[in-house]
Amino acid sequence: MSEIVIEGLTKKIKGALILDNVTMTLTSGKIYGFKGKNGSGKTMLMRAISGLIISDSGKVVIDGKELHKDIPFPKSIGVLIENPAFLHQYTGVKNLKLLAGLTGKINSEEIKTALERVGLDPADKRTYRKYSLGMKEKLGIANAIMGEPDIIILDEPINALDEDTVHKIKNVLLELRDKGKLIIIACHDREELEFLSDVIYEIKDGSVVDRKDISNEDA
Amino acid sequence: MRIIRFEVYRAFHSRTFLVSLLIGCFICAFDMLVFCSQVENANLLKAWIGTDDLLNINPVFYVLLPVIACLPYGGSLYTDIKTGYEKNICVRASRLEYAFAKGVAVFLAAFVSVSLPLALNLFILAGIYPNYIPDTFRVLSGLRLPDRRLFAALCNAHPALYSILFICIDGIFAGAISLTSLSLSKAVKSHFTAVVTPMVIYIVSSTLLFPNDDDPVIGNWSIMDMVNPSPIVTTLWYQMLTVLFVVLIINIFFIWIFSRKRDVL
Repeated sequence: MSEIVIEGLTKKIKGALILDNVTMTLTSGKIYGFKGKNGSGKTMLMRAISGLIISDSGKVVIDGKELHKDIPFPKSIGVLIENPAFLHQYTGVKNLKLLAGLTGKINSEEIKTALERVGLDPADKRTYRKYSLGMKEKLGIANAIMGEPDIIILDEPINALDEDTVHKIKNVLLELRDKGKLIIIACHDREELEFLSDVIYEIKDGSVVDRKDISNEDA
Repeated sequence: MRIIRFEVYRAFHSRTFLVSLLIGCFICAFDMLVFCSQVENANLLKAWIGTDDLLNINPVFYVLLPVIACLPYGGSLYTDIKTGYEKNICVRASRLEYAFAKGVAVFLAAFVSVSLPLALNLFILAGIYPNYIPDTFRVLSGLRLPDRRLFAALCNAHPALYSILFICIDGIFAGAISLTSLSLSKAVKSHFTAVVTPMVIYIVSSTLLFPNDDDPVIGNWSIMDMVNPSPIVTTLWYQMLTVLFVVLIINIFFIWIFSRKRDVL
């Protein structure tokens, strides 16, 4: 179970205000959708939650521990932010095995399961170099969900995917949510975002301008 | 520990590591073949590329030493930043752990890519030439080093051990030099620059610091001469330690500053 508390998060890069006093609380067992135009600050907010950027002011507290003060990065997180990046000379399964080895918490079976869930063949001998755009995206998602981390962050995960795979990914995300995972997703497709999300935050010029609770609306 | 294992695995399984080893081995093999075809009655010390002053191949290896050292993995941090691969790592390890592991991997890859060709050259030549001690009256047995020279006693009594000691010293210097690539990763604009800049610094500083004198002068601060075990070495032990310490400290400082609090974009 995870809870992310963001308080007054502000970030400037080269003088430009990227995040402006963002405050929100995210709890496990829900899918949070971030929507906004390009350059609105969605990705930067995801980076801040992942511990990849250091804010100028404000804080991100995960399960009572402040990022960059008490912990350098969230203890159980899977991310796909912007383009997936892997080692070109290795197969998909080898890439995931190498990354899983960094924590030692994920076994080979879990890696295979993650690959199968996104529609990749664990026995595929092709190296990442030879993957299509869609396969790269799938591997990025598999990397984020392998071992079923407590927090899963996906930035535009379905952009390069075909309809069948999108359906498959949606089911996987809903399944993970039901298992109590905290999922954050950014997506340009409004329909998909509203279908998947329990809560949608609209971000504009680095600030949260709207919060829409979809699950309450449905009820 | 896991991140160190991860980075070392990547370093030793990279194509650039293989290319670097091949460059080093090619130079050493070429020196060995030319020497064997031209000289018969020599000893091991004279034949080994590190102390061979008959042919002009020794300087080639020692001029290219920084490239052989930096090529295997020195530019990997630059590549990780550029491709976004570091995001995969920085959500599983702290930036300082990542930087430390990178440093260890870069150092080890450089050590091996410089030391292994030198060691192979020595090992193969040991099967061809006898390990006579240097003799002042026989040029092809290698000249005895004057007592004031660095490790002269070892060279004059146990020339093979002198060679092995310098293989280790060269490996350590290669590791220290390769860390320069790592410390430059954030500042440079290309992988090529990250790999080649240490060689430029090495050559320029060595040229500036080489004593402008026809005779070898004791007390040479030039790194290029420091790592070269040929009889022209005029470095003193404390100079070698000072330069190594300075290179390591400067590189570690910049790597630490760069890694401590930075955004992974």
